[in-house]
Amino acid sequence: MKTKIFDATCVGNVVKVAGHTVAATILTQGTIASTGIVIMEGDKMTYVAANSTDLANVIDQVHALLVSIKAILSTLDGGTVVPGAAAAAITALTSPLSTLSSKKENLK
Amino acid sequence: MRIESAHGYFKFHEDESGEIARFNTLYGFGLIPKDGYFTFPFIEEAPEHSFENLAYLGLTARESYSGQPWEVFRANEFIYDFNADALSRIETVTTKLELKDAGFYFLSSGLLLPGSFRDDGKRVTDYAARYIWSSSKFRYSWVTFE
Repeated sequence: MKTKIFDATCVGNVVKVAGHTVAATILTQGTIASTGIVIMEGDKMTYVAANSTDLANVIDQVHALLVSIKAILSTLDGGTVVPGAAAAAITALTSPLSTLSSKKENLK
Repeated sequence: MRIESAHGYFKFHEDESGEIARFNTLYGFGLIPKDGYFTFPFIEEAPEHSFENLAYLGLTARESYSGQPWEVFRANEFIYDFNADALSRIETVTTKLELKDAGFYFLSSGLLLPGSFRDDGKRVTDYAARYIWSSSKFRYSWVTFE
């Protein structure tokens, strides 16, 4: 046997190499369209999605969220806490949280 | 000169320099060097993988397989037909086997075509042989059938 690697795509659990459908085991959950590679050894084929760009984006967004949370907590730390002072900042977390939730699904 | 055939993929090895050139002159096979042995030009670039339902050396592969060319041949039941200079499916070979049992080995006046069948219907898949210059015959150490 020899191991071969081919560029591949996966859409709706259908893996293609050079436009041709192949019977590869999908290592990820494969629910979202992705590009990746097919690893072929003997009669076994496995598809692995390449999600490095998505992962980098997710990490950036998590970082930004943590910075926002830190800023909110800083306003609540020490001094006199005024009710509603951080309300706007807390509301502003809703959008990036929703985006991260979508990214989590996409990484599958 | 030694000859190996693994599911119709051929390797020829010289025992002495010049044997391949001499053999090519006699039989016109045009054997060429590859990776330390000689083989037929048609299969010299045989891909090391096949995808089911895609073309492989002029035939449609039945299996997806990654391996040495002879392993890909075996997975797809292909053989190289040196008479037709083409890849064939083993079950399409219509040549009846002609092999004489000489006790410690088998003899044939020609190179066995992989896929040749014997009386019980089993077909030649692999063999190891030597070309005997003095008698212009092929002496087979072993032959496997499936």
